[in-house]
Amino acid sequence: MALLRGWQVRALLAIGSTLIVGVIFLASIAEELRRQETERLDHEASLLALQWSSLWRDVAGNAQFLADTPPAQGTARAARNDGIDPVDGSTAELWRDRLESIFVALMGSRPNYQQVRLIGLENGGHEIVRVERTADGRVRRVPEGELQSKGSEPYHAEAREAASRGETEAFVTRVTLNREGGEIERPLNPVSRAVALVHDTEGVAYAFIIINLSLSPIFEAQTSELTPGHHLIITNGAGQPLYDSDIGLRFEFDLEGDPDWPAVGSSTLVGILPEIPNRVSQDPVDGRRALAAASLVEAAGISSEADMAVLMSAQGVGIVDLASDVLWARLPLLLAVLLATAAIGAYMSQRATRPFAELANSITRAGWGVGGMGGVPIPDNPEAAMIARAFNVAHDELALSLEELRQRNRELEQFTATASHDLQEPARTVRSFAALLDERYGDRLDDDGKAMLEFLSDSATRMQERIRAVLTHSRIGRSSEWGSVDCGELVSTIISDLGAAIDESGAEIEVAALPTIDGCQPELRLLFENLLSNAIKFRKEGETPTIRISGQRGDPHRFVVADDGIGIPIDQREKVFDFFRRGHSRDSAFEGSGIGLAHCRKIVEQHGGRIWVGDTTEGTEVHFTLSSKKRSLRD
Amino acid sequence: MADFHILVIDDSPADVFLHRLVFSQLDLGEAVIDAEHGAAALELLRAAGPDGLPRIILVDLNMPVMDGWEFLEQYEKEFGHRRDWVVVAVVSTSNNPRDVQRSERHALVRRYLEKPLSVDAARQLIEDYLPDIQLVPVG
Repeated sequence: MALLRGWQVRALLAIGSTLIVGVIFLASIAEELRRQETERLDHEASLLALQWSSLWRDVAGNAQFLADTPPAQGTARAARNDGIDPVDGSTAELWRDRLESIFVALMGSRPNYQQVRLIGLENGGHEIVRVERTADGRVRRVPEGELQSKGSEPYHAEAREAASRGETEAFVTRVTLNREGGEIERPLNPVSRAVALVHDTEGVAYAFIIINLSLSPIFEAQTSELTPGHHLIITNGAGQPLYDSDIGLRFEFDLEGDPDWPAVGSSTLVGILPEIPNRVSQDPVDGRRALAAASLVEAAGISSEADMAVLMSAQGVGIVDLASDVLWARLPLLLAVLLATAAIGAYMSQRATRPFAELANSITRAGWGVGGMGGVPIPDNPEAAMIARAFNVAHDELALSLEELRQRNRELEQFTATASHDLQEPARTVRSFAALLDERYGDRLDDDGKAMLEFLSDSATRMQERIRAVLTHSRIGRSSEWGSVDCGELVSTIISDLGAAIDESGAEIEVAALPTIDGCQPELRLLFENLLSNAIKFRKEGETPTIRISGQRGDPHRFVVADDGIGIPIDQREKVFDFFRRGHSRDSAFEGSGIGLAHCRKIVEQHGGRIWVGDTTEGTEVHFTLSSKKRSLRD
Repeated sequence: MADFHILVIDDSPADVFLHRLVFSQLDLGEAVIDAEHGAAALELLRAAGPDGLPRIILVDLNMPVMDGWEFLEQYEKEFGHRRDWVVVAVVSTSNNPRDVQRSERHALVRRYLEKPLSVDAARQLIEDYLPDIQLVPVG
């Protein structure tokens, strides 16, 4: 989790889990709403189907009632008998008048009845009585002179057929557009007709009552009462669309070939009818994803021609729409839940990790003393306590080893100091006696003797130097002078101290702005002194050396001491920092103890840094880093 | 004896002086030539050529520029075929047993001699490996 901080991870986890819960919650709500919506559609469809059913029953019942009334039979009888009823001698006029009065009364209470008529089966199907509703809604008795012959109408043929079948029940004919004089009436007027046969005493049908029912007002009423968002389609029993709540009247099957009728599409819904009353997943009209329900209109006992189907669908109730509707409606609540969950999650995870963060802090602060001085307190949290105990065990072992190591270091330093101190005394003795011998007996010695004496003296001197170097080396890191050191000032002091050597070589020394750092002043002084004198010492013969010193503050601080001298062969560049390693032969111009760079390495390491020879082909570049953190295996 | 040379490879002038002194006792002082490290020695040898090689090479181990082991490695590559002609011995103050062991196992090194080199050790070396050299009698 290098990219995210702990609290971000916790917040993401909390929000993620809340989102998952939220989506599941929404999905289940959407499923429930779907179920409810489907139920509502079903309910509405069956209710509308019931309306149609009862309408059919009512109109068929009324037709039958009229057919069974004495005036209907009397009027029909009189019409067949030259105007005189053969049963009671009443005139046709009288019967007509009575029947008309009954028709008028019925139509008064049934605003959707357009015409109520009595029509003879024979004699070309002439109308005997006709009461109609005019365009302005008035009920009008049509005078005898205006009556027409309807023998060629399809419903007349149906009535004749029913009579020959011996039909006794009223029936409803299939729904069609009304025609006047063979032409489709404008505006379009969808009608259905209830037909009831009128029988004589021998049971022979000789006329029929027909009621024209205007359907437009019913379609419109059903549409206006539709649940918003619901889509209603009514088809006839053959699945041919009659009405669509979005489009209006359809009747393509009836209008086919009519030049005035705009092409709305002639689809029939026959294909879906077998599925009724099963759900369909597509809106029958526009094919969008929707819920649907359907219900057949029961026209039982009347005529299969009058069958109808009510198809209902609801658009825009897909799961996504539902989910987003619900989401918007409950957004504040959801946001509150989300925030609360995130907060609780973050709090809980913080609570869970806090003991470990605290433990990490105590471990960072833990000292390295033995027995009580180090280790960490055992926290209450059991898991953290386990880690703390394990840490304390490891800590105690390490603290013991560290203490042992410090002890060894102290002993070693003590030994080095004592040994080198004790060695100095005999070295000094050899050297002084060699000098004494030369002084007293020098003139009595031959060349070999003199050479031997010189070797003796040189060796003793070198021994002293080396012992001193070992002493110096062993003291590096023991100084307690740790503080702020201005490297610029330090280097200028060294330059003035090295005055003689610099003058002799004619060296030019360029010092860039050097930082002030934390460190041990005497050691840093030794470091710069060694590097500077090396740079002067290892110059090219006969050339004046140029030496550049630069430094950069940072963590760690970086320094470079570069010269244009003889350089160090590539295979020697690591070895030069070894103890008593000389890069050059003894009798050359570059006499040295071979320990200066070893000092430098020890000093740099004491300052938590690193020293190396840079990758150059001309001269030498010594790079080193210094950290302000003291690192020591001492006390 | 014009062709007889003893090559001393040592960076310490005192030691070179001492070696020359020792061989002077055997009347071979004039034969000693010296090089201050391995690289200088190789230059000398290459200049002399395979037929002008010294009969004895005494090599120190701890030297600047090119130490004794590095020298031996390079010498073996260039002059290993003259093993029978040249007697190579290590002469060192190193009392490190590893160096002693390594010398004894080295194909070219005939003997490990401790510094300072004694006249007896030098005489023994010549008597053992170069019987054709006439040494002055003792005393």
